[in-house]
Amino acid sequence: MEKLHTLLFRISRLSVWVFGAGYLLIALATTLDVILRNSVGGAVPGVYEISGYIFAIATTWGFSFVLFERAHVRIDVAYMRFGNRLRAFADLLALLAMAMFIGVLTYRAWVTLEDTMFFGATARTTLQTPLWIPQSFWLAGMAYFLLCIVFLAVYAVLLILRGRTADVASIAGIPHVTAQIESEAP
Amino acid sequence: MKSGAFIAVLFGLIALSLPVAAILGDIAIVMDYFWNDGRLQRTFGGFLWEKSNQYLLLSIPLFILLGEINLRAGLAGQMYSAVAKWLSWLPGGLMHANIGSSAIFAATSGSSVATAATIGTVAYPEIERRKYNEPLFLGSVAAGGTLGILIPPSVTLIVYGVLTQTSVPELYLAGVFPGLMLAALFSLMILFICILKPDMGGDRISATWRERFLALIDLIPPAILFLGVIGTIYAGFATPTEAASIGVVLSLILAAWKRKLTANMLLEAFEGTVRTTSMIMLIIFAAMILNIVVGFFGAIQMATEFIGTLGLTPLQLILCVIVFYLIIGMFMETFSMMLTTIGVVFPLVTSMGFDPVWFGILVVLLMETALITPPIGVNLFVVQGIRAKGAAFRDVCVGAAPFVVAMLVLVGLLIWQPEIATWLPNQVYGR
Repeated sequence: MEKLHTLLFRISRLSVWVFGAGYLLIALATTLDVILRNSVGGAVPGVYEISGYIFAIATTWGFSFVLFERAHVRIDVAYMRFGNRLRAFADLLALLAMAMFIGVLTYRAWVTLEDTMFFGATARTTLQTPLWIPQSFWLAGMAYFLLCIVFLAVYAVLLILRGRTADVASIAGIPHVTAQIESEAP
Repeated sequence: MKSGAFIAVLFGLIALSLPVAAILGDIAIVMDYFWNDGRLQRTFGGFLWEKSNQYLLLSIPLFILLGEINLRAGLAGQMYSAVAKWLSWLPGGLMHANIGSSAIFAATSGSSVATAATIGTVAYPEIERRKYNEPLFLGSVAAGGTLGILIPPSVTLIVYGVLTQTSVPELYLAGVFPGLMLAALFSLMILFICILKPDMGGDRISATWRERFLALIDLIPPAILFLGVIGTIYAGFATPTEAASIGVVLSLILAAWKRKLTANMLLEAFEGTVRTTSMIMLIIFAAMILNIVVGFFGAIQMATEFIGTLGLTPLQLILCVIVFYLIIGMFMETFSMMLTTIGVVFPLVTSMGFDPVWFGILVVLLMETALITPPIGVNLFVVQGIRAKGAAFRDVCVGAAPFVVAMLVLVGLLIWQPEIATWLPNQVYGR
């Protein structure tokens, strides 16, 4: 289980590096676009549209990274007062609640992609991008997130069954509040 | 009755420490499923895709990336000592530098946590070296950091703008005077305390005028960033998203110039950016979905009518809103606090004739208060995290208390004279 945990995390982190670089490219291309537009009146073709796609895809792929970093916001007023066993169950419940929400979203995103393919929808832009391409990557990010939630839930159940309730916090708990500096919540 | 049960369930689930995004999303799904046969759920997919690539929201990761790069480029240290040379002769010494450099850093960053963490790391060693009262000093760092979301560019104001369809450039202009006034009020508070109790003030730093003017050179990088980002918006060259892009490029250049630009540094910045962006976006998605469902059931209209039957005056209503936010702000993280409530509170407040831009500034000010009120105050945690281990969290809370008072004074002023926020955008946009 630990190896699988590491593998899933590494895939997630790799996607973060890729899409982080994507954000950087968006910034460079957009800046170039602004400079061109205000000087020679030209433009970098498709920046606006493609930036939007990268943003959408980077967001859904980022969800799983936030999950592994245990940075999805949870209010810990009561949690702080729980013992180990109660915390383990709260962590499991948190994963299940997330699984329900993301399960529905992933299913709805899948239906949207199906519709797009069925109608052969393209963007109403000069590029006429076939929308199934960005939507597939977008859906894949969401599905990967769902997979990771389910994996962590199973992992947590196994740990609880083996009586290792204290270890659940290390995969699904709320990181100690003072460690939030790195989480950079604005 | 139904809305009472709704709020009870909401806070019950929050107390169970479920993820905020999951709570909002699941409530929306369950309400729609049981009372509407799940019809609205069918629109979720298309709606999410549309919101996922909304251009204005794209400014959020870009502003966060800008902050992440600045944080690691080491601009803060020199800026801090430059500000210290100008302000530290006052009673209260470096605490004024904490406030002043926070205000300047806030003008290049959209985040309160980043501001408090950056200034705090630089300032912390000075407490022992110059014998400051530690609680008050830390309080000034925590409070100064909150300026990050009020002084533009602010990520929080973008989210408010997107959710309420209020113009982000107008919100940014509206944040300028309240931001400067709040910084001034913080400094006055420090001055006042240190005149009453001089031993809290620590050593002052004296500098010659020559040193002061030479130090201004260190303020050039933040000035360039501020002009590049905010200047381009108001000169009409760029939208907020484009301005954020320009900011990222400028901060890359500055980082390279400081020889801090490495592959590792960039990867760390990417991780920080995606972590924060995706965390916020999931809550935004969930809040938007819940708003659709709640709106469909006419809950907002019901709430408005209910408030109407109470016969509150606009002033009484706004005071209720403030008390409400002050209380939940003690227990909730600020983004969740705004996202869970704004869908109902905003229509209520605007239906009473309040200005959306003005209300945006008021909400952000209340969020700033939430950042430094215990038991849950993110900036308090940040500052506590900087301290040596084993020190009592209580100190930080006590030290931040005077600054909460300063914030409430500004809240009062803002209600008394709404022009503090609305004058500047009205001048520029001629409404």
